Amino acid sequence: MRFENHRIQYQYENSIIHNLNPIVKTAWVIIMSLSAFILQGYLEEAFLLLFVLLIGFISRFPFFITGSIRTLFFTVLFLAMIQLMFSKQGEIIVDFYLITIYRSGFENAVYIGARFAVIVLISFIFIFTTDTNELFYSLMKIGLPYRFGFAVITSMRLIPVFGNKVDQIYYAQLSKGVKYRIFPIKKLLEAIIQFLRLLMISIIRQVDAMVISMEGRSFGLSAKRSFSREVIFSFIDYFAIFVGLIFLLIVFIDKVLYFKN
Amino acid sequence: MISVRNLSFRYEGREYKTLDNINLDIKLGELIVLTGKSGCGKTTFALALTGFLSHLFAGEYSGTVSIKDKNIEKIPLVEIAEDIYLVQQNPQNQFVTLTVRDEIAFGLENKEIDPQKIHVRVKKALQAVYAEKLIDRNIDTLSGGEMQKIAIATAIALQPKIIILDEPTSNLDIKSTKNIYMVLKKLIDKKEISLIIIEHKLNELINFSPRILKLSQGKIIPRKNNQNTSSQLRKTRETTRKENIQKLDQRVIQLKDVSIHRNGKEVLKVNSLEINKGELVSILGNNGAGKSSFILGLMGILHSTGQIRIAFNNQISNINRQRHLEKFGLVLQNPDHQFFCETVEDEIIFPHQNYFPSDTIDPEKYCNESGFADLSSELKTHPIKLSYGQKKRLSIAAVLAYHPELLLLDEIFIGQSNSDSIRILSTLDDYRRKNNATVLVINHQPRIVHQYADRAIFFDEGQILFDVNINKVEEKLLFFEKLEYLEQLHAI
Repeated sequence: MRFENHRIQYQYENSIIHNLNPIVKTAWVIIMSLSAFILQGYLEEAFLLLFVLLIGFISRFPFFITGSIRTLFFTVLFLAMIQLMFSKQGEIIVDFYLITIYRSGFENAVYIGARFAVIVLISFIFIFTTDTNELFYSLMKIGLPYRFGFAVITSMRLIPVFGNKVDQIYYAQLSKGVKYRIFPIKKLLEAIIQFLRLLMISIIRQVDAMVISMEGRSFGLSAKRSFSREVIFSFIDYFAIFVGLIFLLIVFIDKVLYFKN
Repeated sequence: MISVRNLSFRYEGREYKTLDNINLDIKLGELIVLTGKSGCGKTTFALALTGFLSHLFAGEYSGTVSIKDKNIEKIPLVEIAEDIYLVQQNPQNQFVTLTVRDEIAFGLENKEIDPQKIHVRVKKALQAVYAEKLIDRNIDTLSGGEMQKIAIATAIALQPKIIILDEPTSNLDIKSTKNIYMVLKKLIDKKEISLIIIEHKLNELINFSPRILKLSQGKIIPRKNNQNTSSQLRKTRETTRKENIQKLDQRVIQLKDVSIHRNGKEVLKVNSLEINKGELVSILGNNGAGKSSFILGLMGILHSTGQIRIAFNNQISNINRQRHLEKFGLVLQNPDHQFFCETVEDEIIFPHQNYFPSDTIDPEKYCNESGFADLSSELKTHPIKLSYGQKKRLSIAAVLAYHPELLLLDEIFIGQSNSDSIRILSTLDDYRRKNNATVLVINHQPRIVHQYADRAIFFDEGQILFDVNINKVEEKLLFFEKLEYLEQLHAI
């Protein structure tokens, strides 16, 4: 099953969003996040949310499969409830038995909920459509210091290795008679410390091997390095950047008009 | 090309020298095979030749290693890397990027080579190791053999003058090992670079007429031919066969319609299998065939469906899996993930104490009696400081110390010389006779293991391909066209 662990992760698809340059997608995440904070008004927030959903559908984002969407929904609901309950300014718009909702509470609930949903959703879509490796190679090619870029790439390399080590150490503990029982707590703590200590030693050794491997291949020989990966900006990428800038301009105009009114 | 003069090294905290007054000259185009018992200093010597020992490791370093008449102590590591490259023992640990293409290009990009030239060199390097198809693969999706090929391709792409390969086939199955030797043959035939191969399995390499160096207690000593080992093997074959006739027929393991799962996926299916008490079973098969999952499933560590019955009459997959773990002796493949104590002696006592808190054992006496005498000199050493082979032996010693009834041993011969492998098997053989224990050994060395084993089970693509008495193994290997295994079996 594709989303067995219900986590959002990069998934190759042949969608227009997937095929965009990672830098363009990064720019769009920034534009949408800025817009979420700049725009005010129910219509504007609704438009922004619909726009993100549209991007999601174009990219074939699995809205109904991933558990993260459920978590997002309940978080948005929780944030909105907090605002409805504790923001008590302006006129009362609902007064029903123990429930009293003020205008400011309702507005804040809509704005904060919508902003949060927009930012998290666009980030999910970004993760779903962007190969992190490709993103960092692209960023390094346009000026991100390569030491920083490789710090991230090597960390990503360690993620599955780390998972494997966790399994192996746990199996070894089981086979050597270590029991993870809550009582006595001293024994439980001992087991956890043994586990973490070995995991730490194991990771340090892994990192040592990686250092030997990197130094052995002249990493850091000079301040510059070449990149064999091509970072291609197609017509679609330029067009997406153009649309993004227009979008941002409209958002600013809307903000100015909002203040004037 | 390389000149080593009076090289000695003592690791910080160790009383003895790991390298002791080594003198050696290596010419361009030479093929050198460095052999010796595990823990004799082979990997340390490789680290010395590549400059890592003098630059990165704490300890007492004396003597010189020179490449093209320059003392490597005085050259930055990144410059030494221009001439010499070390392919480490575990390829998985040395990859730093996420895809095959990026991994091979990594070193070339560091040297600011033109991207077009990098593409050509990446392709050529992959061709050299017969792995062109892997170019767009993610590193994590590669098998052990494929990883080793990519590690070698990485070295080839850099075009160093010398490549050192630290046990390039130690983690590989027989088929992948054969593939790697084909790759090495291609490199050796070209004679453009010097190859230094650290290896225990000399049978294949002997055909390339290498210069063989043997390290022993930190010194390079003249190597005797391997006649002794061969005759020892033949001798054991005769004696064990006679003694194993009297065997109990009591069943220890009974499997029926069993499916073993890893991360929610079915990795192994066993329709029916029975193993008797006192048997020594050789478990064969390529990497990824389901061998490790089999033993983890038997212990109840991996989830399984179907009927798994062990002699203590438990349906382990359906009950509290920790209830009878003291009856199992599991040694996992990677020893680095198995040590929880500060010293070797504590590590031997550790599982025994967990299972039998009121009982005590003397680790030194135990090591001497159980045939792991070389560990008795390391009792106060931190397990992490042992060599790979010593760690493996420590894992076995710690398991035998609490006298389990069923031993499940996963690739315990990695990093062991032939003589060490024989010593381990002989110890296991004695153990099972004295304790009427059952021993399952996952291995890629049937040539040695089958001198002692009663039976062989061959796993293939998540199923049992055949399960036969040891005398019928060759017949079955021939029938199923597992010729590389047959070759290995006859390679004395």
